[in-house]
Amino acid sequence: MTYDDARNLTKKILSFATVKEAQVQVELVRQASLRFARNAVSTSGASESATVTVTAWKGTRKASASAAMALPGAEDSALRRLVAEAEELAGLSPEDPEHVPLLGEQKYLEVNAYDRATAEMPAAARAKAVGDAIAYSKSRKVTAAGFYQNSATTQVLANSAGLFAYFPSTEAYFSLTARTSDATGSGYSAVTSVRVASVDTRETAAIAARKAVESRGARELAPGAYPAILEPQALADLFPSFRPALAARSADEGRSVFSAAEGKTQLGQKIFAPGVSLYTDPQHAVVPASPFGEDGYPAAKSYFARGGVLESLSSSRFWAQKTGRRPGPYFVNLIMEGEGKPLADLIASVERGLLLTRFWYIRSVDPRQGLVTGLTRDGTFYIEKGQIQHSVKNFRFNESLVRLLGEVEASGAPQRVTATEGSSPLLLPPVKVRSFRFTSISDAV
Amino acid sequence: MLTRRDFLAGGTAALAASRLEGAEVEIDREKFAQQALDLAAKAGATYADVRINRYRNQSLATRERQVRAIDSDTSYGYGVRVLKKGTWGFAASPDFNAKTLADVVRQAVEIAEANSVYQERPIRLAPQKPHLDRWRSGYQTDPFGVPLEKKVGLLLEINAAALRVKGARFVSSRFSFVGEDKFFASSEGSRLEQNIIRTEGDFSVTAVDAARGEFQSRNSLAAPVQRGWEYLEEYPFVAEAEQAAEEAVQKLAAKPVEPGRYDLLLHPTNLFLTIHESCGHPTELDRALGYEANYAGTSFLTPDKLGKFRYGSKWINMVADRTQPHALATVGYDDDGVPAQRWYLIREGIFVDYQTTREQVAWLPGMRSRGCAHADNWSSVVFQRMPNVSLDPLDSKLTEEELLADVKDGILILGRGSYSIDQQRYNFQFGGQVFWEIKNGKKTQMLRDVAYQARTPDFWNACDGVAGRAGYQLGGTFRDGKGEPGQLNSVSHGCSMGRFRQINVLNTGRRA
Repeated sequence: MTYDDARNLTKKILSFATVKEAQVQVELVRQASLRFARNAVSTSGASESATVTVTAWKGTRKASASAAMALPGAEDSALRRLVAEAEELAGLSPEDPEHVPLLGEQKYLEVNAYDRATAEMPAAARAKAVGDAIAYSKSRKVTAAGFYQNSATTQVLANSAGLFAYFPSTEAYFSLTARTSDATGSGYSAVTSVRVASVDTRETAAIAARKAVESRGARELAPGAYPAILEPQALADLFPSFRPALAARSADEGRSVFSAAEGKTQLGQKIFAPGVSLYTDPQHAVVPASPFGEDGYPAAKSYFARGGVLESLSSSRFWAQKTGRRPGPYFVNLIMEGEGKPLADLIASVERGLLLTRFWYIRSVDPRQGLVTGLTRDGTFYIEKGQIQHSVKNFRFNESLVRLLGEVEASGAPQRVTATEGSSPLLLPPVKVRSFRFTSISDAV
Repeated sequence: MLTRRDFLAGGTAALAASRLEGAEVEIDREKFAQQALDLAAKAGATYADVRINRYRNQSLATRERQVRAIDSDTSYGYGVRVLKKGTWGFAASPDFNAKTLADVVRQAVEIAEANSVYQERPIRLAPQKPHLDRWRSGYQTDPFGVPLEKKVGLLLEINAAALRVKGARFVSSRFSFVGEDKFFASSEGSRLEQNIIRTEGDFSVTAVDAARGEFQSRNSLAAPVQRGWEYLEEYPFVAEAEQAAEEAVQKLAAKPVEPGRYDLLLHPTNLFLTIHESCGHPTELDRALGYEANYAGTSFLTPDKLGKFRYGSKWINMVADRTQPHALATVGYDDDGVPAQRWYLIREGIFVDYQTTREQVAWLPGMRSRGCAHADNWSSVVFQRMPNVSLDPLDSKLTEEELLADVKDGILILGRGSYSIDQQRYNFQFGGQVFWEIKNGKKTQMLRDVAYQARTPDFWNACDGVAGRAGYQLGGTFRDGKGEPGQLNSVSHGCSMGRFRQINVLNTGRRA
């Protein structure tokens, strides 16, 4: 959907509204994917779907109605019906005491996140990319399972006050788990990019195969606290459950890890290690992200933490108005600055500790501490005297990312990575932390 | 069951049935599906099926004395699945235009052809007799027809009940309704119409001690079900909200648990999730054979253990059941066109069977399709998903009181809290909503910061009693994730209270 198509469509939909305030969102997703397992292809599919969401306000009464549509050829009658449904639901809704008037026209940062070759990758090219990874895995005598997906998403937001926001993006994603034939070793690697040309499936397969082979014959290590190096994937896996803590409102309300006693928050306090700086930047070349946040408010580069100091938490437009802050920042992506040290140097600096490569099934346990539980997976290694000695059995941990960010001693070069259970783009370095706490051993390989 | 003749040639009544009443797009589903199947056959597909599905979702969310959001969503489209050169291809669209249909079929066939180069063993589907049938889930009142005022009114009543309790500072509540109208047509001749309604009600109350910077929450113990609006009127939400608020306040001052080994009494509102994670997932055949290795993981219940592995004590009888009334994964037929079934996965503690689809029958000798094929949308690929898996109390005569009486030093746990399990389903950790200390057969005081951690077979072998059917109830979820791209499945797990001896308990609240 081009910029002009999006403008015309949203204009038309808004023209059907009879209420003073209306907003329309369109999300068009075109995706195709191929799964493989046991060194052969399994399921695969392609789909194109567009969701149109209309939000109507009758005074401060608000409701939304959305429907899957065939775009660009959606019938006017279907669009009218959707607007009418939203208006009808709004009429039945109670007054919203948190209503904030719609934003007018906004200026957005220019973000280039779209690659045509990624949007239009043919089935045969996807199959070959997967075929290459399978062939490599077979040559290393490991069994591969994985997933290739290319997608193109167009997000559009417009309202009756003149706001119009448009953001096309693409993503190519490939991940592979290699398991050894004796089922005692497992390794994982993933790559994600705006451009399909940057996805090297063979290289990804090679990393996973190496980890699988090296993780065979894991020994048991007693649970406890160990110095650790987290590869970017492992660090990324901790972020989805951390996201709710970025909200200013819950911190102000006294129910967040960033709340402090007597109704205060920890904003402005040095709570992380001095080397920890985390920010969002929609224009970042490696992890470009949407230039707009809630209600079309512009997203911009902004620090969450700088030099270890908690600098900002995200306020909704309502909460910003109530507390006298600016709306946002919208963490449309998250970037952690790194010192650029090679991973090998980080490993070499560890006297006795662990290399953690991927985590799994992370869930919140105690939001007061930002405590989560989860497990290591697909390659956990013991380091002694600066060298990897052998693999160790997987662990369960009860740990807090907030605490870990206070324990960071050194870091490497940031890489684009997606959390195993997340979708927003992250750019994170490998980090060395003083201690990581494990509570039990898992027999899983 | 209808015969094919009734269904296709029964005059206007049957014709009307193949149109979906009130749908956004007026099409004759039978005719449209036949066109798709003809196109697929012409393109060389050896098997094809078409799912023409409409999904309706409505959700209402509130906090304290206000409504946060009222959302309504409709999605109507179709997906065409083909087998060519022994390989799957799939494509989907919401556009019912004839030209788009031809493109969709061509795309599905192209995908199958392109991927077939990297296929090891051609896919063989287990034979399946075609069925012509209509099926409707059990509900009395279609929630989509209930006025919004009534729904909002009940939600705000729940919130008000919670906020009346001193110390309860925040409450959020939510109702969600799902309506699925599914039409399945296969090249083998099946034509199946299914209409499913699901309902969920939930709330969470938070008590804050601002001076100490402490807070505690208590969520509802209600379970989502395959029922209509009547469920939300029957369930005592308002009374529970008041109790939950009192318990959230009580938790602020509750005794932190001393870590160690305890006998656990697990209420069905807690135990259902342990069943889901430690029995539901490891008995999926695709996981056991490595098909989910990259994301959801594999399983410790490998085929060599079938029929002989002692998974649990003699009390453990896990039944898979897609026929159980009001359970979330109950259907008439799965997305392969296989009728719903009931079978045992664990019998008297021994692992005896898997969850399967038609494709999986060829993977392992002795398998038959158990009707577990499912896709969460018309645009999603069909694969194996979990049926309802429940701990069957059989003819247990034990009461909850008797289970309690024989605990010297233990904890009673209610509700779903934090949950996590490894990728082979061995090591798990579960929290809860409410924890009661048990001393010498008596509930004494409230505890907090409790989580239990165990290895799956050790845990189920530590069970020495399951209460009888009187206390049996269903728990469940609308959002069980699996697959890549991720798909959600709704599934229930029934059980009565179980007693587990000497399980490791952690204190999760100790600050570093």
